[in-house]
Amino acid sequence: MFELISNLALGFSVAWTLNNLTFCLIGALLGTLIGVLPGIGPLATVAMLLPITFSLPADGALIMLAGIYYGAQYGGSTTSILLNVPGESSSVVTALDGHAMARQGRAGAALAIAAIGSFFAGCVATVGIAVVGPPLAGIAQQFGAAEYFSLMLFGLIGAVVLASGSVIKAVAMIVLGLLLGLVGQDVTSGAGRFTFGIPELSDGIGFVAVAMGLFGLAEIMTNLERARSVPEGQETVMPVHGLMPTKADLKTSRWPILRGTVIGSFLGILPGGGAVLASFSSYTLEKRIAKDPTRFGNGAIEGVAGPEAANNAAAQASFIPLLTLGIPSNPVMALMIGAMTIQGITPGPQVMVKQPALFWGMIASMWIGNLMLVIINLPLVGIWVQLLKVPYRFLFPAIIIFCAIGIYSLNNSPVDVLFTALFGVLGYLFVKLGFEPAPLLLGFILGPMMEENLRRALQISRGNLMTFVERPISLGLLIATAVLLAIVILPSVRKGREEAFQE
Amino acid sequence: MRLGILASVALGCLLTVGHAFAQDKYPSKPIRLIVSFAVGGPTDIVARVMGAKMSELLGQQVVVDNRPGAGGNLGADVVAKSAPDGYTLLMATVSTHAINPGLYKKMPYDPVKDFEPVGQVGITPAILAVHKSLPVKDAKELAALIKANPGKYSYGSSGMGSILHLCGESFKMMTGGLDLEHVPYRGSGPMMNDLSAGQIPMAFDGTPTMLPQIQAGTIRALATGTATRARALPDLPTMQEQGFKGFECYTWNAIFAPAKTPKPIVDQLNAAMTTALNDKAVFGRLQDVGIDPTPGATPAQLADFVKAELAKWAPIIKASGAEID
Amino acid sequence: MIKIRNQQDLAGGLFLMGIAALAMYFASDLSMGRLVRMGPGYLPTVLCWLLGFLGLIIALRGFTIDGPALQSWAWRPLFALTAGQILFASLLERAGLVAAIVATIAVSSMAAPNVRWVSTLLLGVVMSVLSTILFIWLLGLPLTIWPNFG
Repeated sequence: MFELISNLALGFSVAWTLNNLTFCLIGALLGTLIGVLPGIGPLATVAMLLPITFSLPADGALIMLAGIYYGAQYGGSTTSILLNVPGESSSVVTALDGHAMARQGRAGAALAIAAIGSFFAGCVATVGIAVVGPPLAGIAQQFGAAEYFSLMLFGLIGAVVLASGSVIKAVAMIVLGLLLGLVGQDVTSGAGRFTFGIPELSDGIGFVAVAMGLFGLAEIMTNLERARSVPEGQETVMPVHGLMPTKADLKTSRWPILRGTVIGSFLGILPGGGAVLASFSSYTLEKRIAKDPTRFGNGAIEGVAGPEAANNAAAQASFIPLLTLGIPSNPVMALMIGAMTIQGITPGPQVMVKQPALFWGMIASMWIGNLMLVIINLPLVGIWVQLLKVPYRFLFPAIIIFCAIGIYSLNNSPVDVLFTALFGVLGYLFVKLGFEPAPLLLGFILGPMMEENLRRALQISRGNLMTFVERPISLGLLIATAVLLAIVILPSVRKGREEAFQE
Repeated sequence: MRLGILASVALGCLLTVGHAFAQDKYPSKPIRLIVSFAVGGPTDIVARVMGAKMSELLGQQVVVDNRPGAGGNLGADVVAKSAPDGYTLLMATVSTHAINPGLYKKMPYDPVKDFEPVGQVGITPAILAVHKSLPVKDAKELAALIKANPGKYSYGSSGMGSILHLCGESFKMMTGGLDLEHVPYRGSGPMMNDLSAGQIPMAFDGTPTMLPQIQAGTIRALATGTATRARALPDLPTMQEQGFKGFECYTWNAIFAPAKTPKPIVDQLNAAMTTALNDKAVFGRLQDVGIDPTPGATPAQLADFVKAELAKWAPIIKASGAEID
Repeated sequence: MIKIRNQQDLAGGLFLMGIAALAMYFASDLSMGRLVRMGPGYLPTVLCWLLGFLGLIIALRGFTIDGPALQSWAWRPLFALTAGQILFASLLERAGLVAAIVATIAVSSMAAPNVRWVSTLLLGVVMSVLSTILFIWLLGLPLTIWPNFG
């Protein structure tokens, strides 16, 4: 205990210098400002701003980058809520109820609860990293290919709950997402699947292009369609009332935030889909235990509070494998490894021992960064909400331009912009046919990881299917999956029978 | 008629402007250095370190332009099809110029004919390591252990047809075809996760990813893949020292220009590279990312090196059966 | 005579079945392998069957459960926005950022019911200046501002 306090004291002494506080503030501010541009999520923001940090001192550079990362996440939630344009996989879920709230004129409350939930989760997760980071990282390492496969399966079954409409249509969307996720070069054999000889497809379709098309472009198309029925000269502006959440909102959000934080802190440690699984596990859980699940998808504040807390906790927790093991758990952390390497720091288990000032300084700065973000963002809520008052005919071309630049910049590839157009058409078709895109996106993200780990597990065990039940963690996850499947299917079967009887 | 005169005058003006540009001293505008891998990766870092110093030396900004995709072929192809004016360069790797030609069924470019070698940056030795639980101390013992337990062991790599995969395949070939399963990952990071956790027993990888785990004791280094010992691990014997004759496994970085780039420009760039690599700060930064810099390598030496590398990997790729659509 | 009760579901189900059939065709030359040693074609094939089956059920539901009829399509936004993206992708590297932005905004704006050219052009200029300052000057993205003659 004493050691922990002295470590944290060391950390704060590093982070609490004028220079490092400035770096932290600049990072948080830049991250928020770039990340809030539609179609530009944390990955694109960090990648764009990474070269800027190369010329800074090591601790300042890392503190600033961490600030950029959180800032971009806040920014990403903002566009999800206001414009229904998720800039990264873990804010897909936020868009569901957040944007529904914005439509009802409660954008301010949604943004504020997202900031408050994230701040709380960030604080708890930071303490978590300091106290139990290293042992938790050890547990995460027990996850081999078999465990990941079982975890992904669990996640996919849970994805069904995301649907606010027909269950069978949601399942079909998940399967279609899985299929789309397989596009590209097969990791295990090197064979090209559905690549049609296009080299840009060899690494698969980019997530942002799919998300932007299905959510962003399709949303703009339907908005404009709706606008046509409005008489000439009358601009469609979303209503705005009440910037801050009400007491009732806060009371409803209290427990979801707490549960989201716990879920996020655990799942965030796992390399791979940690943050995504965290945000939508939280959503699934809230929807399951809600008294009236039909509110979800129609602007339930718990559907914003829980997932936002979970995704921010997961974002903090994803630093654990990086700092304690030197292993990146997601593409953004891989960029952080690049940044550390160029600063002459070799990320790995030795960082904590050899450079305690850097390690604890970064942890302290995470807390400071979260505080700064809440201070920056709560007043900004008013400004962001004003964005909705911009006439739509100006707003939508601007969204389109920022998205196109953001998508292009990820791989400097014009072909990715073309895919956005394709998925825009598909997204519009889905709207017309009554399909929901969120389950498709989850299948798209989890599918390739599931296949890869399934085949890898069988390779390592030399074709022994028992490997999935012989390993205790994997077995536990499979049992949990079976339970979840029963929970998901039973009510809809019952409902289906009721419907059948009514015929 | 008058329109025609006007047009030809305008065209003439344009041509003179173009001409005047060409006569300017090279470089007269920013140079694009294309990296065919993502931001933050090892090749990107090399390019940014070199780019910053070369900007200083050439008096023009060297802009790093990342074009990831298709195992590096996408970015390399952009350079192969660019104008040979010295304003578009490639930070090439063992993948783009030695492995991919033998691996991909369809190659968009020819690594020898479509490029003008400029200069080599350096090489990164591959290290053979095992999880700490394996009871072996060198490569010979490892081979014996695998031979004694057929159907039990596998090795990880950063992907099908990656240099780390081919390192493993050469190891198998030199030990008379061990029963050793290849398990590909999406990149070196996830592979190292599984190696340090003991999910897979062994792997080859470059020094920067290996070193921290070796120092932490989660994995044990058995041998260095290069003919001479790695600067970062001077006590670790090479594969050749341990009796694996001719075993050579390493990655490298070099700068190429499109074919037919004028010789004065190539020489000017090569001189800038040599000066940059002899700079203490640059040398140190490259060493930090596991590279043994090779300052002073001439374009002709690089041309021979590429041919030798192509000849070295072709038979191993063929024997491994690796193939990418 | 069979009555179509839910046009949306019938069309949606048929659409999914079409996708499944198409994907099955393109996956047919991938090797299947066996369950314990899957080839690259194993999972795609399984998923295609599953998708086709789900599509069939959804399509059949169109005959049994009442639901919404198909709505008309708004072709104008669909075409204008899609064309805008294609234009941006093809112009950006050839004609520079400014031309790509102005052209994309001009075409995309046609998606709105009433186009006002002056304000659209103004928006194009504002976005060009903003993007140039932010993405090229401040963030240093490797983009060209103007077309590259020569």
